[in-house]
Formats: sequence, structure tokens, C-alpha cells
Amino acid sequence: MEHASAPILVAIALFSSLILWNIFTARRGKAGFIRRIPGLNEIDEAIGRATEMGRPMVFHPGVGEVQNVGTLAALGVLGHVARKAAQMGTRVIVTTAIPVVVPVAEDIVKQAYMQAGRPELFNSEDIRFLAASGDQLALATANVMEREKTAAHFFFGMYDYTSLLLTEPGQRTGAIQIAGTDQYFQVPFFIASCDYTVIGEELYAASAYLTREPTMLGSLIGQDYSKIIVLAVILLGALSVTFLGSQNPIVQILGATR
Amino acid sequence: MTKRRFIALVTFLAGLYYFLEFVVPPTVPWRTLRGEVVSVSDTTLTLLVDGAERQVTLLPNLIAYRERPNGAPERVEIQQLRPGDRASVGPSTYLSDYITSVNNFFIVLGSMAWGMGLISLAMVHSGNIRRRRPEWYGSVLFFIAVAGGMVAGLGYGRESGWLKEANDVVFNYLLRPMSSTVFSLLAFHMATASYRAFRIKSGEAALMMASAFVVMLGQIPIGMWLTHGLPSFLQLPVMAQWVLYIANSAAVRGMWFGMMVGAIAVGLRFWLSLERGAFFDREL
Amino acid sequence: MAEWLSKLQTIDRRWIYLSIWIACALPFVVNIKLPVYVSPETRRLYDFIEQCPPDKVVMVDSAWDAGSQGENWGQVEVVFEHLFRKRIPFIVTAVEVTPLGPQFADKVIEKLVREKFPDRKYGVDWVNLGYTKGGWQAMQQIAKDIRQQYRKDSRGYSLDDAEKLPLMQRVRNIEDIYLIYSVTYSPLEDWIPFVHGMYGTPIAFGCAGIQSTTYYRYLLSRQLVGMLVGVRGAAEYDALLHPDLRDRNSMGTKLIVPQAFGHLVIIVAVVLGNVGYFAARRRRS
Repeated sequence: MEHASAPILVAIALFSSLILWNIFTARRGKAGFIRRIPGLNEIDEAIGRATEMGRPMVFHPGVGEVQNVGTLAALGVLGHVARKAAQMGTRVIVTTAIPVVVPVAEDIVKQAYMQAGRPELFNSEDIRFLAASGDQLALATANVMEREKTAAHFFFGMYDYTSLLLTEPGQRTGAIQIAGTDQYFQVPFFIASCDYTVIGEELYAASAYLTREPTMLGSLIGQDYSKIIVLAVILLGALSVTFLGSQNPIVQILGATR
Repeated sequence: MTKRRFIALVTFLAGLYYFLEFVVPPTVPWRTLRGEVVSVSDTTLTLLVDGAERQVTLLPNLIAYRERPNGAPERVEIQQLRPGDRASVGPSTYLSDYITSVNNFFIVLGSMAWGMGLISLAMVHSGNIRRRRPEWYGSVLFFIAVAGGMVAGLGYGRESGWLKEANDVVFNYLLRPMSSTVFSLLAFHMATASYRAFRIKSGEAALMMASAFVVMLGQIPIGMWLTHGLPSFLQLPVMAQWVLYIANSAAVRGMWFGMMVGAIAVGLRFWLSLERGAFFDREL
Repeated sequence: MAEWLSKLQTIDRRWIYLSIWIACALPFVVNIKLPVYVSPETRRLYDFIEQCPPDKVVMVDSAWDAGSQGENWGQVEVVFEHLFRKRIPFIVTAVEVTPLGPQFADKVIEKLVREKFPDRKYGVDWVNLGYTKGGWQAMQQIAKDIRQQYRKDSRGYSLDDAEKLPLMQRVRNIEDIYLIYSVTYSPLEDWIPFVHGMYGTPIAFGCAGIQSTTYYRYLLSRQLVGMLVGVRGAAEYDALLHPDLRDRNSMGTKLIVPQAFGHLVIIVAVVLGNVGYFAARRRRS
């Protein structure tokens, strides 16, 4: 069970090659279409609003460890927010309860300000490790929102029950709030308390959507092909079990009998 | 540039180990015997393979997997095999032997990051004190709390003594009840968030509210009381069950498939350093 | 009238806070018990435990603490009561999630022994093995050989001490375990592939209401034999244990009342908000 079985091996090889193939195809200049994701469209709007008001913004990259896929995707979004913020000369405050996120976020934000030619605007104190647990971090972040009178809040990454503890106090400050999580059961809380919500895998697509980088777009197209295969296999499995019984050869090939 | 290449190389090598550990079989496939155990001694193992008895000399690099009745392989010591068991025995590919050490290495690295976290906190709070920012005295309290917490932490696992008392006070009597209190704030936030957000502005919003009402009422006794006279499929608890079992499960499964494929893509991009923006200002 | 009604969409949040507080606190002042509908996931767990053969034990992975005791306390309390009543021996563990899990389980068991089952003995009817780290590796180690993962129980007795822990003398590995019931805010899904998938041992979960939505698919696929969902699940299980409403006094039965009132307040608030919204719209048009 700890090692890949034959069907898993085939699936990994197939999905990985599809994704990589599409990445390299896209890099050769074949652009793909990506549907509109309203939550991500509004990020630039929110940064613009904060700039107009002359107030800082808060970026919260979730409560997952740095190797968590949701956190990695969130750091991609942070890269975009920091670049835009640097271009417009607006401060972005990052709060986290995960110590490893601090140097990574610091690197991302610093690089964004340097790229925009405004290194003097970068302040390492704006990347804040505020507490060691999610609930304390939520209270501390709410405090930052109140005190710094922030105008835009971004919540991207993996979230637990603390999501509402962040977004409700944030909502009271009148700031525009945009959230995105791959945690299914936190989505309702974000929908109820944020202006825009990015749901599930849309979070993973966020970097691609925001940067329009060929690598990212190619990766997204590869994912879509992979999902079509998953759906086809499900359909095949369901039909075969319905018409041929649960011990049919297709089910055995798929390794679903045990 | 050298730094970036170095990071990309280390990322690739670390990822490669985990990838290989997962995909490479634990025993060398062409030297692995699979069959029914006939006997086990200190030096040899006898297996019945395709009707013929095969003797295996027990060398230190041999590892065994016992097949569970459902076909799943279970790693066991060779001496734990019993006659009649179905097992595969072969020379180790060694990759899995180091998985615990590699995991521990990353745990240690992660623990070092806590020091960085503490430095980050100390920088913010010492800055507050130096510049006499509003409520700077809160930052003084932070340093006192860190010192107190560290001392109390020394009492962890002790049976008695003042350090144990300090540990109990800080962690059990202060921190935990406070965590529960913070958790309970959710009830209040949830009420105001739903009050503010649930407006029937569209057909979809109406559908969402209807399903929310069905599930909320179906979860509590009042739902049953309100509809107990109706045919069973119209009773709120039964309708709530349908929403949770069928509609909800379908949505969860769909989302999971998408997210897992997405996770493979994000993992690949990071592993091969194709991800732009996060660590590199251009692709390598 | 429409003007007055339109104000309903901007009620000060503090009134809503106060209503929630009263709704949740009132049942603690006035003793109320409410009948419940028993959901299929609760009934399946109850029926499964009812069929436990005499030579098997149940393992309760009680990995919760103060943070989620509102929901988890009731979920272990009713199952412990059922096991005590049927004289099914059980082992308590806490894998990975919180080291305080075993202490909280002890509190629940002590209360049950004191109030309802004074003749049940530690070491004979139950054993608390304590906390262990290690995630799925620990789960598999318990399955292969419980003594490789736990040498001593939470009280420091050796698992081979036949005098103090006679129950453990007949528990070696997963073959002796009839059911694993994992209770925490969000039970580890690793139980399903690494224990159920490999050894076929039935698994049941007790989880917070909010987390339950992701676990229903496992009930459909029969990878979970049953599940207690939040306070509701605990109250429903209590209803199966005690068909007469007056006999029910578990934490679940007590807490379903504030939960019911809390839900009602939210529903009323949402309805009022919408009345205000439509009144405002009518005024505008």
C-alpha cells in the first residue's frame, strides 16, 4: 500500500506526461483558453482600491505547512499581489502561523518590490509570524486589520475552522475581501463573509490565470485532459459493474477488486 | 543564478527520492519469489512456487511481504511468516529503508524554522518597543510571555514539582480554555455571516438557501417535529440526508478528483522548478 | 410599513450575538429534552456494535481535547456506554492528533463507571493505551503487532502484565479487533486506506458536524461502517440506547438543545434579513 500499484503507476505516468507535454507545447507558443474566474479578476481591483485609499493590504496564506499544495498555490497568488502592490506603491502585510512560510514569503515580496524598482518600499517587518496556532493567528490578524486600517484582505491557501475568525472581523473593517481555498468545508464560510471566493482547484489555477504564463496555462490544459481520462475511467467502471458484475475484467485491470 | 540553480537541484533531488521510493517496488522484481510458505528456519525459507518447493537462503538484504487475504501486501520480518501464509520474498531495493531517516531530516529542518519564527516575532515586537508604537507595552508583555512559556514548557512530562504546576497553569488552565473560547466565537460569527450573506438575489441563491434550511432543520429535532405528519420523503430529516449523502457526496468527489489532479500538476511544477514567481524571477 | 420592514436587513450584529447567546445558554438553565430522528449513519454504527462477537474487542481512537469536546465528548460517551452495557471490552488509543486525547477519554469513562457501571474494571473491561505519534505507520504497526507500538498502557503497566491487564493478553494484532472507532474534530482518513484497505477491519468515525460533509462518500462506498456527526450523532445514538426520552442524559442529548435553538436563531435572522431585503426592493420600485 505504501508503494505504487501497477494501475497507480500507469495513472501517474499518464497524468504527468499529459501535463508536461502541454506545458512544453504551450511554451512553444500555442496559447490556450482559460475561462473567467471572477474572484481572481477582482484581485487587481482590490489592490487598486487600497492604493486609492492609501491603506495597506493583508495577505494570509492559510494555515497549511509550506509543502502543502494549497499553500504553494497561495504563494503563487502572493507573488502576483506583491508585484501589483509594488507597481502601485502599496504595502502588503503577510501574516502566518507557519514559521517556514516567513522566509519564503519574504523572498517573494522582496523580489516583487525589487522587480518593480521600488526596493525601498519593502519592509521585512511586514512579513509577520504572529502566533504558533491558527486561532491565535486569526485574532492577531484581526488586530492588524483593525490597527492598520487595511483596505483589502486576501485569504488564499489551506484553511481550517479559523477561516471565519479571520473573515468576519475583516468584514467589519469594510475592506474588500477575496478568498480561495481547496478545503471544501471552509468554502461556505468564505462565501458568506467575503466579497469573492475562489473554490477548490480554481486556487491551483490561480497562478496561471493571474500571470498568463505559458507554463501555467499548459499545466492547466494538461490537468483538464487528465480529468477527462478520470471521468472516462469512472464511466467505464460504473458501466462495466452495472452490466458485467463486480468481478469483471475491466474492474480487475483497474485494480479496484480487493 | 548559482543560488537558484542550487535550489532547483536540491528540490529535484529531494523530490526524486520520494518519487522513486513510491514507484520503485520494495524488492527487486526479477529476483522476488512469490508463493506459499512451507517452512521457516533461522537460515532458510521454503516457499511453494507454482507447485515446486524453492529454498531461499536468508541473507540480510532479503525482505518479505505477507499477502493479506484481500491481496494487500504487508511488510513483515521473515521470521514472522507462518506455514500457509502467501508471501513475496526478495532482495531489498533499499530506497524504503531510509524513508524514516529522510522524514526525520525534514522534521528537524522544520523544527529549525520555529527559531526563525521566533526571530520574526522578536523583530516585530522589539521594533514596536523601540519606536514606542501605539500599545507598545503589549510587545513587552510578549517577551514576558515567551520567557514564561519557555519555563513552563520545561515542566512537560514531569510528575510533580513547581515546573509541572507552571506547565499545567499555562497550557491546561490558560491556553486550552482560551482556545475553546476562541472556537466558540464561531457560533456568533456564523450567525452574523449568514444573516448578512443569505439574500435571495437570484435563483441560485434561493436554491442555496433552501438547501441550507433543509440541512439545518433536518439536523435538529425541530425539523422532525415540523414535518413528522408528512410522507417520509417530505420529512426534513430525510430530505437533509438526501442532500448530505447524494448531492453533497457527488460535489465532494468531483472536487476531490479535480484537486488531486491539480495537486499532481502543482507538485510537478515545483519538483521540476517550472513554477515561476514563487522562488525564481524567471524559469530556469 | 415597508420602510420599517426594510430596516430588518441592517439589524445591529450585537442583537444577533445576544440572541445566539440566549438561545445557547437557556437550555443550560431550563432542563429540556428533545426527541431526535435517528439517521442511517448512526443506526449503522449502533447495529454494527450490537453484532460484535464475544471474542473480539473494539478499539476507540479517542484523539480529541478541549477544543472539540462539545461535539466529541458525547460521541465517545454513548459508544463507551454501549460497550459497557454489552460487556464488549475496548481499548482506547489516541493516534497523532492530540496527546490530551487519552486524558479526556479517561474522564468520560470515569464518569460512566461512577454513575452507571460501578462493577466494570480497568484492565478487564477496558484499557487506555495512551497517545502515540506516527500517523499511518503507527496505525499499521498497531495492526501488525500492538506491542511494537505500545509497550505500556497510559498507567505505565506493561502490556504483558497478565495480572493488571488481563484484557491485553488476548489482544495481539488487528485480527483481535472488531471495529476501530476514531473520534476527533476531523478523523484521519489514513485509517481507511492503511487499515481498512489493507486488513479489512471495519472503521467508524465520530467527527465535528462541519467536517462530516467530506466523509459521507465513505459511507456510500461502505468504507465506513457508520459515523456519528457532531452533537446530533451523539444525541441519536443516545436515543437508540435509551428509547425512553426520560432515561437519556448523555452530553449529546443535553447539547442538541442549544444547537437546535442556535440553528433556529440563525434561520429566523436569515428570514428577517430577506424580509428586509424584499421590503427595501419594493420601496425602491
